[in-house]
Amino acid sequence: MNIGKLKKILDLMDERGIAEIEVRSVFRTVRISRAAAGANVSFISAGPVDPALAPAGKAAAPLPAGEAAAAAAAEAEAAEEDLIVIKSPMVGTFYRAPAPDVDSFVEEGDKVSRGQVLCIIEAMKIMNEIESEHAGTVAQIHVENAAPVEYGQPIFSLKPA
Amino acid sequence: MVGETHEKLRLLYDILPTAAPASAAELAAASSLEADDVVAAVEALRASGAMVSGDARSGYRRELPPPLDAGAITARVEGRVGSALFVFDAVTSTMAKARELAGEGGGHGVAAIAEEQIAGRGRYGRRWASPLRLGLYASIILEKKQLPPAFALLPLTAGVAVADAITTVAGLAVELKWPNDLVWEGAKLAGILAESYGEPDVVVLGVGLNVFQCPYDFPPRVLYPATSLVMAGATSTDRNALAAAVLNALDRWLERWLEAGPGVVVEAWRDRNVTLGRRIRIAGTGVAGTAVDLTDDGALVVEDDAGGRRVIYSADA
Repeated sequence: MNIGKLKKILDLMDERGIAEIEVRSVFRTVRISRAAAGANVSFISAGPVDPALAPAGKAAAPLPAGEAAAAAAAEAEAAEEDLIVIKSPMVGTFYRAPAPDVDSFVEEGDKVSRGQVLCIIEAMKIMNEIESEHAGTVAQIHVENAAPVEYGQPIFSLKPA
Repeated sequence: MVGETHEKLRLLYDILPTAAPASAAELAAASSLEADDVVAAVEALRASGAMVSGDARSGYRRELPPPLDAGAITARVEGRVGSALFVFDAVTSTMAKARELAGEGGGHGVAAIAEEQIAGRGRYGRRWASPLRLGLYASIILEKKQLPPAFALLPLTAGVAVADAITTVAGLAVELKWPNDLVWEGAKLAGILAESYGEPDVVVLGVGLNVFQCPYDFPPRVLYPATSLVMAGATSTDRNALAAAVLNALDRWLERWLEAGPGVVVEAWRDRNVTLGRRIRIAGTGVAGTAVDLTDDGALVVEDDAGGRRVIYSADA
């Protein structure tokens, strides 16, 4: 553990009023207890965990593919209007907000930046945040909240910035 | 009559102090019960699993379970999942905390565990009741590059792992309800939630396990009937052992999934499930039918009454 990380943890403990925290890394365990007067750090030895146990993974791939005909139609339409069509990367349920009683991530007419969360698509109880790959203005939201979506189905149209 | 009794017990439970004990007379005055009723009600609460100490003369108080001990959990952790873990007193939600840790560089297997969640959440923003020290509330960072390329099976894998952990530590043969609720005699004992982000590029897996709750610890109107390890008659309720067992089982099942492929996980899920063969209704679609099979990516195959088959990826079944 480096000093920067340690400081971050101490700040977090201060902020939350946490008295003791234990951090176990691959090679050792650190227990940090914070007395009223200040912080007190102790190191505890622990058996190292073999990092080689971890198999190398492959890059994440999208969920099973579905029909792309609807997408093609919307794309053709979008090309005419110079819009970018954002398509669902998976089969699932489309949610415009993180919970029923809170504001939607975006509304039509909103400006969005690259990396901004546009919606959540739930598949197999994994709530997937879908980020915009482009900056622009939301021209159209193609799907109703809580409706099922197919792989490749258009979900948003963006007017590029 | 029964409903009325439950309301009285809930009222009494809610006013029981956790610090200095309150006498039966004091509790009676605060609850509009008679002092004799208070004595009987405390007995009823104890019978339901509530931890109430004292007697009418010395006064009653609600006992809290022992706190989590990060060292005791760490000493039992065997693999990469939980190889770094943080135990917090109170957090908004462990999901938010784990995501924050991932943003600060927390890598694969880092776990955020809390004694209490102020706004514990389930799927689609539903509340997950998370009272102080009564349950196990944990979220684990999983890097996508460490998972199989199609990780749709993750929640089911986690369900199998948590079921194994509960069986090992608490001696209960819990069952799985699609996609990944853990149930005991039809009541929800634990839930699993997975959130996938783009930045940082991780999945955060959340586990909420009811351990010491009595019926009066759950909100009056929960979506599904709920239960806890205490209510289900578990042989052990050691939260440190449970936390470590959950982390270790998750580590093992992720390894199996990576090495042997999805079939092993799907098979383990089938062995423990209560969904296949049952009639289900798919919320929001009006479709009713029988759950007949599970695909290799964890989706449910439902045969409707006309004999047509549908594959369900997302629903409350």
